[in-house]
Amino acid sequence: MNSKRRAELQRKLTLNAVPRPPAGLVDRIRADIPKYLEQENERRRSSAFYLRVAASVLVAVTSVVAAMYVVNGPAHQEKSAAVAPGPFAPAQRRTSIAQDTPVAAPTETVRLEIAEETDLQLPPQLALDAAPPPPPAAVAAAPVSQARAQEIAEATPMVERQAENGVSGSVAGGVVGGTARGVVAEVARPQAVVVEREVAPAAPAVAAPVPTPVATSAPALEAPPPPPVMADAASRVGRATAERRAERSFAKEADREVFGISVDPHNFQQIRETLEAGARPAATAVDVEAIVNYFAGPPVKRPRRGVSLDVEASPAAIEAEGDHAILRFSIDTPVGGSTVVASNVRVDITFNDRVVAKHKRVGGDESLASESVLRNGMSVTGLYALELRPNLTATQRVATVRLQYKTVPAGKAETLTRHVLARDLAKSWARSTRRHRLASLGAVWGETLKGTAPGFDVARRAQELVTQDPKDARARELAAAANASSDGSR
Amino acid sequence: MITPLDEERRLLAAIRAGDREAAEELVERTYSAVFASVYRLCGDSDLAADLTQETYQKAWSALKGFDGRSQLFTWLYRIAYTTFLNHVRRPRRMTSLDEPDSIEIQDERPGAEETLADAEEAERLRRAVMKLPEDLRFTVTAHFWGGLAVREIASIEEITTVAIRKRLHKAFTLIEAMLEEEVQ
Repeated sequence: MNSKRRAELQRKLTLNAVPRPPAGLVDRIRADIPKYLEQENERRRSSAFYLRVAASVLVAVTSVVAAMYVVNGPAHQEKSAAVAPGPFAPAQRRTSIAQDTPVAAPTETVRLEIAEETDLQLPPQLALDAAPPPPPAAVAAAPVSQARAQEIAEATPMVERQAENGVSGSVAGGVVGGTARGVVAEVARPQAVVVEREVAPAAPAVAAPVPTPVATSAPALEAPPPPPVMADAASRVGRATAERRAERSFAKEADREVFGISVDPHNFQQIRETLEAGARPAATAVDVEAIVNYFAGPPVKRPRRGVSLDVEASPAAIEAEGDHAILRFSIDTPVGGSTVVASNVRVDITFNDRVVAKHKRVGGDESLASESVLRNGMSVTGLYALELRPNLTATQRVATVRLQYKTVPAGKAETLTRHVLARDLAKSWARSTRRHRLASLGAVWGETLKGTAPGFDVARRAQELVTQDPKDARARELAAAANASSDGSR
Repeated sequence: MITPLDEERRLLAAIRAGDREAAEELVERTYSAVFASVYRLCGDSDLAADLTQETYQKAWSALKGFDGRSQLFTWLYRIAYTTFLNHVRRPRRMTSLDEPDSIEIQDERPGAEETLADAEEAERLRRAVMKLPEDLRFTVTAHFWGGLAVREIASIEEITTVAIRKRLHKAFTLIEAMLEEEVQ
């Protein structure tokens, strides 16, 4: 290649015209700034916090060990004196500390405190922020009042859940706003009474007033001693278990909706039973989103870690007048228990108005709710029905789906972005993935049942899916259900 | 006298301290250039805008790891380039445009005939650059589309400036061959 030709190529490369950035781009970029910077600061803050917690734990453990040492001092000293009467001074010093310091409570009392703390698993934040230890007399007189025990029992399951998840956040009633750490410090610090003062003001807000005068305030510390510790602890554990069950049941109920999208698996079963009984389900009983999610199901392969975002678009499942398309997004988490894998989860979908004339979320309103946490074994699918403008170019952006979350436990901010271009809509519906086809066909069937769309031949399309893969149970179910309802829907 | 490098360092320190205004200033200064670089890589305005936005999102997350040895824009360009490559490599479910029941899509661009001819030639050139081996492609795009100096690219790639010039020479030979092949 001669130098002239090379210079020409260089000129063409350099002079390639570039349009001006679209209006609003700088605002979009700016809008992302504070969040990230705050996270950066937050990370710094949290590092400092961890250091403080570590220091507190160290101090607390040292104090308890020292206290135990002092309490056991006389006996140990006698033993030491008998065994090794050498020049070691520490035994002497221990004796003097035990005599001078009023904190040296009887051995039994101190142990009782520790046992109770361990049993109850006190909310970490409460004790970490606690005031200095109370007078030894108060500690000995009333280790834990009954009302306090009830409050703790109420708070325990939530705190345990937080601890399992390792997620920061506030808990109902505003009682606890901490993180799952510092439990060791709690076990080590015999300060249950101090904690009581911190919690007391919140009690009336979350529970009915307790008629007994026993306390929620410092004077109550002088009340008569509570029932025997073992029985009290047992009843507390029982209450805590019941609370925990109720909490889990609530969580299970809440899991039926993710990002505000209904994922209730029972809705389709109820509709099927109604159809099998020869009746037609009432329009209000049909939850299109739940049907979509039932048929979309989990992915063929779940992600190994984190959260996955699967976005797919195709022409509409059933041909209609005009250019209609369907956009699907599915969010999945790894297989396994109920471990939290992500927090502060947000999905944003933006459509290009120059390409999309109208868009509507199938079976729900446009807005998508955020999720505070996502657990393992979760799958959610959302569908959007799009009406496209004519004469699109292949590279035009149709929509952008963005999933933002923080990893757990690392707390790292992640953003998954998927762009849908016009060329992605060029394939036929029949060439889409099974998940996409089942979800979109389920949506059409649901809308038909609900009466919000005219009757379509869903049964035939579903039967095609069954023919392609006879082992696909969901396709068989859809075909059977669509057949059963087809009399009324056509 | 405050040099541009000092100014960049000040900006970087302020951003790291959580100063939002400094971050906005950085965006104002650089986003047009980042957009232009990405546009030249992908040839689509909407997509370039999305990728530019994604570039900055990644930049805020990666700010902690930026050692300040290169210029801020060089660092941003590297992120933008990686973002573009990730986009290109991302698996897409798509098929031919001429399927029987596909939605009709026309690849029409407005403009006079000569503008179209220029645009077509630019597009051919872009495609040829995209077909280059990775090291040559990065060198060409960073130098001509990102506007990075040879020394900056050498610093990123951790090779000498002579090696970069050799890369450019090799790249042009290949581009020329590809363009000739296309004409034939």
